[in-house]
Formats: sequence, C-alpha cells, structure tokens
Amino acid sequence: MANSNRGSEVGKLFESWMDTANKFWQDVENSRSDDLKWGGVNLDFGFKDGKADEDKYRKYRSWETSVKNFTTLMKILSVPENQQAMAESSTTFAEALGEAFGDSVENLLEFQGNIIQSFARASAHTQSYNFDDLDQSAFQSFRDLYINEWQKYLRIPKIGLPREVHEQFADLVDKSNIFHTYMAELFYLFSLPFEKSNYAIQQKINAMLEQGEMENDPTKLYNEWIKILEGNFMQLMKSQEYNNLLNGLIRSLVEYKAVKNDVMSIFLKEMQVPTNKEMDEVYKELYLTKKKVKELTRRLEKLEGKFASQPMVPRQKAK
Amino acid sequence: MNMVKIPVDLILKNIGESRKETTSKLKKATSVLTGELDTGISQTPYDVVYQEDRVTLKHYRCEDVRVKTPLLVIYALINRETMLDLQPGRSVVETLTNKGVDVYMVDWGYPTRKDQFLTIGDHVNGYIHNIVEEICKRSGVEKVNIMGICMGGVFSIIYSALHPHKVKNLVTTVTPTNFDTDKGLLNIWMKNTDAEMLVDTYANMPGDLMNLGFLLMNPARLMIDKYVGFMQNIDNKQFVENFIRMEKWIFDSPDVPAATFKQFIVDCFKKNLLIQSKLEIDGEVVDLQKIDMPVLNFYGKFDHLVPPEACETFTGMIGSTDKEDVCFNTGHIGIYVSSKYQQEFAPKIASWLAERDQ
Repeated sequence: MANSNRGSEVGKLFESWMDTANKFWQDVENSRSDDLKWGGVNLDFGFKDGKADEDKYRKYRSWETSVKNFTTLMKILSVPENQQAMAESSTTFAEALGEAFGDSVENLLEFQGNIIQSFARASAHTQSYNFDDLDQSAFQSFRDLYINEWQKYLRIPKIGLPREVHEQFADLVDKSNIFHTYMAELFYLFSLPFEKSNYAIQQKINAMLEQGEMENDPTKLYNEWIKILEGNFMQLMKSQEYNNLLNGLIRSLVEYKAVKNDVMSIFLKEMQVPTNKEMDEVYKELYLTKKKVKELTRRLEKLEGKFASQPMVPRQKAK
Repeated sequence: MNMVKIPVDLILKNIGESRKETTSKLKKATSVLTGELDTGISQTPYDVVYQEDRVTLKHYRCEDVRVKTPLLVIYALINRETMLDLQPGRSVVETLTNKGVDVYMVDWGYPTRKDQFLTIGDHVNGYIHNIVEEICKRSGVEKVNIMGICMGGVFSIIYSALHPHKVKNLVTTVTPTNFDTDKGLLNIWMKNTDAEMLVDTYANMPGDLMNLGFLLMNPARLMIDKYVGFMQNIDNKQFVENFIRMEKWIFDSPDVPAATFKQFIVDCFKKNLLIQSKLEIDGEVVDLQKIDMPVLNFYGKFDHLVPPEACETFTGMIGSTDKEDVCFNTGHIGIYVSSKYQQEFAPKIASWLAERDQ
C-alpha cells in the first residue's frame, strides 16, 4: 500500500517536471528562427536569408537537429499513457537494481564475516613447528569474492573495432588481480615462521628473566632464534598448504605473463618490432634446419668414409 | 606477580664493550672492503679446444699426464662449472691435474631464446657425443672417462647407457636418479606443482627464478644467517674474499633451455623414468643395464637438493659389476668446495681412475 502511494507521488512529480521541460524545449525550438541577441550583439544564423545550407552553419544546424529530436522525444513522453508507463517503470527499475545488487551485498557480507573469523583464528597463536592449521581463508575468501563478483564485469563481451584490444586489457587486469592475491598470500605465509619464532624466543627470554638468568651473549639468542626459524620454514615448505599455494602462484603467474606478453605485442606491432611469438617461430625453423643439416653432414661423412675405404675402379669408356 | 630481576648494570656494561668492539671492526672492515681483494674464480690455466654453438670445451693444462684416458667433466645446466675451480688450493680440477689426470670440462655457456627447443637428446647425443669424438681424436683413444655433476651426472648416465662403447669409466657425483622420494624439498615441490608450465611463457627457465627457488629452500640460513655471518667476519680479508667468490659463483645462473627443463621435470621428477630404465631419448630407451663400465658414485649425507635416497639406488640398477658408492658427511656443494673434502674427493677419483687405466 505504502509502495503504491509512493509510486503515484513519483508519477505526479515526473508529470509536472515533464510538462515544464517540454515547454522549455519548445520555446528553445521556436526561438531558432528569431534574431538572437547575445550581450547586445545580433547573432545572425542566416536562416532568414537561406544561408543555413552553407557549410559554415553546419554546427548550428547539427545543434538545431538535436534540439528538434529531443523536443519530439519530450512530446512523446508527455503523452499521459507514456507518463504512466514511465512512472511505473521507475519503481520497477529501482526494484530490479535492488535485486541485482542484493546478491553482491550478501556476498560482501559473507566475505566480511569470513575475514573477521579468520582474523580471530589468526590472532590465536599456533604452536611452533606446526603448520597443519594454517589459516589462509581470508585470501581464499577474497579470491572467491573477486571471481564471483568482480571478474564477471571484466568478462563482459567487448564489441566494436577495438574489441580484441579491450579484451586483452581486461584479461590483463583480471589475471593480474588473481596473481597478486596469490602473491599476498605467499607473503602472509612467509610471515608466519617469523611470528612463531619470535614468539618462541620471546617465551624463552621471559622464562629466563623470571628466573633472573638473562643471557649475556646476544649471539647465543640469535643462534637459537635462527635455528627455530629454520625449523619453522622447513615445516612450512613441506606442508600441503604451501605446496598448493605454490602451484596456484605458478599457474596464475603463467597466465598473467601470457596475457602481459599479448598486450606487449600490441605495442611492439605498432612500433614494427617483431614479437617474441614471431621470433620463436623463426628460432624453431632455425633449430630444425640446423638439426637437419647436422644429420645430413653426419650421413655424408659416413658415406665419404665408406667410399674412401673402397678401391678406385676405373670407369670404362662407352663404346 | 613475581618481580623480574634484570641485570641492568651487566647489560649496560656489555653495550659499552660491544660499542668499542664494533667501532674497531668497522674501521678494519672499511680498510678490507676498500682495499685490493682477490676474488677471481676459475684460475687454473686451460685452453678452449672445441666450440659448437654456445657450448665450449675447456682443456686444462697438465704437465705430467699419468692417467692416459682423458677425463671429461660434465657439469649441470644449472649454475656454472666454475664451482669446480673456485680458487687455487680449493679447486677440484687443480687437484685432478696435479694427480696426473688429463681433464676436459664442458662449459654450457648461456642459453638464449633461440636455444629453447634444445632437448636432453640434443645435449647428450649432440653436444656431448661430438665433444667425446673430439677428445678421442685429439688424444688418440677410443674411449674417455666421464665425470658428471648433478644434472650433468644424469646426462653422463644417459650418454653411458646410449653409447657404452665410448665410456671407459663413469664417475657420478650428487647425481639424482631415483626421483621417487619425499626427502628433498625439490622433489616435493616438483611433484606437487606444475613448474614445467613456466617455460611456456618464459621460453627458457630463467636462472634467477631457479636461484630464488633454491634460496627459498632454506631462507633462514641462505637469506639471513649467511649475511649475518658475513657481517660478523667483515673485517677478515680472507673470509670476505672467499665469501665474494661463492657469491659470484652462486648468482651466476644461466637460463635452462625450455625443452630440456620440461623434459627433466616431467620424465624425471614426475614420472621417475630414468631409474626404471623407461626414459626415452631421441626415440631410444635408456637401459641402465647397458652401463657395464666401472662406476664410482658420490653423494652427500646432508644434501638438501639431492638427498641420499635419490642417489644410492643407481648402482643397484646398472649392468656393471665394478661399482662403488661413496657417501660423504656433507651437503650438495660441500663435496667440491669444503677444505675437508678437498683432501678426499678429487684424490679418490684420481686414484680410482688410475687403477682402471690399463
């Protein structure tokens, strides 16, 4: 009920705005044939004496045509049936917009929830030499959000003459985003052994201080820290989580680099510089030719050796 | 709550003392770093006697050749062969030549984009075979001794199985043959990732990217502790020189040709075909039973790149009856560069070859 009231109010508002706008544009259109004064200067557009067909009035003619088209559109829109339809569609449009963004907002909230949970988990210190309970879900959540929500906008089909170029640039942005999420995750993982080792050595120092046995030689503490750090890194590097990440990083790097090369080749072509792809084709031909020449040389040498070992037989003259 | 007792007086005293020590160290370090440093590598004299494309063959000068059969050293495509000749007194090739071994060494050079299609077959049946022929021609022998290092060891094994009539004795060092192990991080990573995809976009596998991967195997030691150690010894000229030599070698990383890298990852790391005698090179199966020449196999107990499990199976799968495994208590590089193994590794090879040089 409230919605229908609001709809009719919007309809009335739209109707009165449409009337005013329609009148204004009609006045503009009617004034075109009259002499216009601008700061006391008469502006002669030449319509009265038929000069309007001349080329120098082209811009004015174009403007006039646009105004005419616009006024026609306004007239059509100001018909009561059309005004009614417009008022209804404005409500529908708002609803459609709300629905379209609803999913994205829900996903964003889910992502936010995941982030908060993972920060809570990350803040609970894991024990030294234990990387079984790594929490990388924040990065995974971000990647999921990106793939589900943002990636699709970059994949909107491109049209027109520069379609291919637009597609390559969009692809570059897309692959770069994915690659950088993996890089960020890698840096996060690398920070964990430091965090664990620092925590372990801090505990040790605290224990020593409580017993009043502070280590005089900092080198000993450093040696202990580096040993713990080494152990933590070893555990991390062997973990399945790290290996999965490494594989994801390699795959995303390969995809990112491939698209980067494609984009680079656009500029290289423009500068008349051969691209890597073009040069690789030449190199491959060179490689195969060299291989063939080496093989033929080897066979020829073998044949020459064979003939050299055979006794020379004088050729008989034809009778 | 317990009151914590902190020996503030002791801490302040230590800070005062270490400040004096640090100032004096910095003064010495400045004089070391700005002074003349001998950081040259690969100084044992040699001649380049053969060249094909980017590949060259080095022949080390030896005044008193006591082992008649020349030794061809085949290094990996990863990093450079200069590791075997880091500095006088810490050089495998120097020790071998001093022991009367006629040493040739392959320098794989720096592959460029045009080399991306070169396969393992092109390296083994192409470059290595041509080099062996060249050495035989120069030395007037039918066979050569071959020593392979890491991936170069894999090439040596493949060559020995495909051309057994050209190899008199085979020495493999830190050479992976059994890739079905989870002991090394490299094995775990290669099995769980699609690393071979990288060459689809990079063409050749970038050396720097591989080096980054090796550093990440032990970031605490290789990216932090190593440089802390350098800072602690920055006033020690000899330490600084050795450190710079190692840095020069370790970060001198040529790219690996794409086709070779892909084949190595897929056929060796993922399918483990070599040890099963199922690997195919240029259409020919690499049958380990065809390796019937004497074999000496070295590996490191603490090798984090090629763990003992990846090396020790090999000698049990070959046709040869004269074979020996030697495990040193060191890592992947320690066998070649540590002072301790300078006295054991190369001398052992020289005497083993001399015994089989009839």
